[in-house]
Amino acid sequence: MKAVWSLCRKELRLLIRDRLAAALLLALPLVFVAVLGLILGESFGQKPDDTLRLSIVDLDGGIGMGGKSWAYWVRQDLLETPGIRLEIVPDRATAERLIRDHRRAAILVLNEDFSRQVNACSFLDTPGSINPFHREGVHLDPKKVNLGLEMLRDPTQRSANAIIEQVVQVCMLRIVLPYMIGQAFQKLSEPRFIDRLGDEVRLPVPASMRLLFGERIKLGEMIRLAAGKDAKQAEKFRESVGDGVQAALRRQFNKYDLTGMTWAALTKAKGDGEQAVMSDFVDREGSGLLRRGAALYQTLVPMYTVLFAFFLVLIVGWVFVGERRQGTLKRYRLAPVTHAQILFGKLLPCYAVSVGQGVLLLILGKLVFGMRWGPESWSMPEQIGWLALVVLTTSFAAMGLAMLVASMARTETQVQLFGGVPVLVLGVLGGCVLPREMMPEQAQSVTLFTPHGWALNAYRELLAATPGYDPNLTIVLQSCGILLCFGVGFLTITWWFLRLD
Amino acid sequence: MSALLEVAAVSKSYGALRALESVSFRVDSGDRFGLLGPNGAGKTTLLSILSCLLDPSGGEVRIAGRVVRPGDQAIRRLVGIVPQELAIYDALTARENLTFFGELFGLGGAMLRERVQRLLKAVGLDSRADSRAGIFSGGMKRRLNLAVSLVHGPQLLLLDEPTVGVDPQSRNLIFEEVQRLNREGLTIIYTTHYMEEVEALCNRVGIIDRGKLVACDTLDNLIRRMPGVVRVEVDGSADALIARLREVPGFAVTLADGGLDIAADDPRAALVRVVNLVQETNTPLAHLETREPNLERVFLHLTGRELRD
Repeated sequence: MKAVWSLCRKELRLLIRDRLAAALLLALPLVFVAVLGLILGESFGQKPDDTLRLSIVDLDGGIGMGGKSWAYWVRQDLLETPGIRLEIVPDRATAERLIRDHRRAAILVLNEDFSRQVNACSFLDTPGSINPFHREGVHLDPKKVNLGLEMLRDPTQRSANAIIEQVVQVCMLRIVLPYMIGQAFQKLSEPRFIDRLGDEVRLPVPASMRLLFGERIKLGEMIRLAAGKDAKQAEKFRESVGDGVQAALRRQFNKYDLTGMTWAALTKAKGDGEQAVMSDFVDREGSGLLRRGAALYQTLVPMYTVLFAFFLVLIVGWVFVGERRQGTLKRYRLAPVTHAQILFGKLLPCYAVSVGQGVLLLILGKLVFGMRWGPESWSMPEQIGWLALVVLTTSFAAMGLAMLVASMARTETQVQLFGGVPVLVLGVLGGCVLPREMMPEQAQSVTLFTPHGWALNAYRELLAATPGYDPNLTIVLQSCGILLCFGVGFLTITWWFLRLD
Repeated sequence: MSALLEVAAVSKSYGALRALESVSFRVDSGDRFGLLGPNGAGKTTLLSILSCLLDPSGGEVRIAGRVVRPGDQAIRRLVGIVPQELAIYDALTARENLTFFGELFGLGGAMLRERVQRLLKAVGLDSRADSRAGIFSGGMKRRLNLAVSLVHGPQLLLLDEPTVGVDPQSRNLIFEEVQRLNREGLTIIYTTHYMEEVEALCNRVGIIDRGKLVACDTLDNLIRRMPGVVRVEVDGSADALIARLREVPGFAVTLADGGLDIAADDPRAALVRVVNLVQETNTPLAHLETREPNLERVFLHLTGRELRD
């Protein structure tokens, strides 16, 4: 054990004093992350999505239909619209910033009075009622008609915001029109309407009774006559007229539910099951020169942490070759130490350096690039615990490969050949250069033939771009288990190849 | 003297190549044994077998009565080897190098610190103890290389051409340290192809060539085997002189390089006789010299080739 400890201390000293190695292991990945962070778009690392993104700000504080705000029904309507990604932006200021920064073409803002204003929409020309329509559809400009909503538009993205506006128009029509029809239909049974109907409808009087009533009699008059002096009975007759009118209309327009209040109820149409995807707005862009907090760092930092963990293969290989060339490896054979002691004495410090490298990169990722270490709902110890598991197992697999290369290579060129080439190829295949989500589907499965792919699989699960994402811990544990298997496999082969001469 | 090292009919083959062929010799405790041979003669292979790095194809090696086998950890504590390569870490200081290799042998604590300090002083590196070896001169590195091999206190020290590329000052320091260690009881096996080093350091010499040990004896005995030579070069005919020289008992006359080489057991006495005969025969003398027997001539005589061929 003492010999192992001596070897460990010596290896650590050598690795720490090798400034080139330190630069390669720590500075380079940071430079890569920083440069790529500056030049890559905010959707880097996300699955390419060609659906239309409709961003809304929901500030509606009122009550609309069914005890819910009208904004709720807008969101429901949009969610039932296939081919749309519904993004909820938390506040107006954020929305205005997104428009100002040209990051969104248009954003629909549903103001605090949206429900109140929709409630006021009516076909009736009564005081306070709103006619929401104009030739193009629904008024979206509060300066003309205030419907409690507003479209924020980026004037530089006319085509995009025209498309979004059309979607909003159709949505608002689907919201407002059924409501207004339903409201109107309900009016058919109101006494005021029946009175008006009673005044307007004049029915021909049979010849035998014309003496008393003239040639035509108003419907209201007939109800009063029929009820006599019984006011309740008169009211009942009026209601039955209203019900009759409604029933007649229902039968007449039996393909529709005119009282349905929603588009789906009005048209009695059923969706095809396909739904829009709703997500909360995530500020993926970050802030400042380095775009701190940008979502792409959730992808970039793990990518380069994994890639450079495996670059340690080269350093370890060079150290071994250097020892071979200088004869210090031969001195081990002259000393009373076993192969196992030498292997552990070499492996442990390299493993410690690899883990240190991973931990430092993640810490710097948080401090410098503002990345998250896990879902926001998790406590810090929980985030650290799971990340540590991934770092430890990734380093184990990387060090297994490093020891294998070191045991086989006899010259620097062989280290490049046995180590550099596989590390780069595995890195590319594993998704350390191009994220797996951006690869063609057939290529994605190839990533899982590499330890890099499994490491990134675990990181992806823990560091998803969406802060509220709930990681599937089975995937994390499975990935870590496979990384351990890679490490054990590499070390087993190393044991057979290890030659100290 | 008891034998610390016994090599009995040791052979080593690499496929068809016979690197060593039935090499046998013994080295007693306290000996300074020089193993002399040209490059590729098999010296390093032999040292590798002696230091448990290689298994012989045949024969047996015993150190302190114990048969040497690769992996025998107890034997490793008895042997120190100064390899040809500078087997030290450039990124570590001299002290760290010594401490590390001492720890590999299970040493530690105050004893190791004290031993490291003593060795640093012995090889003249105490003032540079905490400087990284990478900035040392070639000679300083060689001295550190020697100290590293001694840190575990071996009984037998194998030096594999330890002065290659070394400045005279460092060479002297190495010689002095080797002699001092030998005086303290350390047994030395010193391989080199520099005759003068063997002559200066060793009391016994083994000459190895093409994997065979062609001679093994004390230095004096080896040299005594060889006659001295008187070299004569003349301007004109030497026929009369040659005829007279061939009549002298104990003289062996050969013609070489335009002159005469007269081999005799006592070259000084032979010189006087040769001068007399030159005068008697009126031979016009151009050049006259005596060549004392030395290791180089022994080697040439035994192997038929120069050491640095």
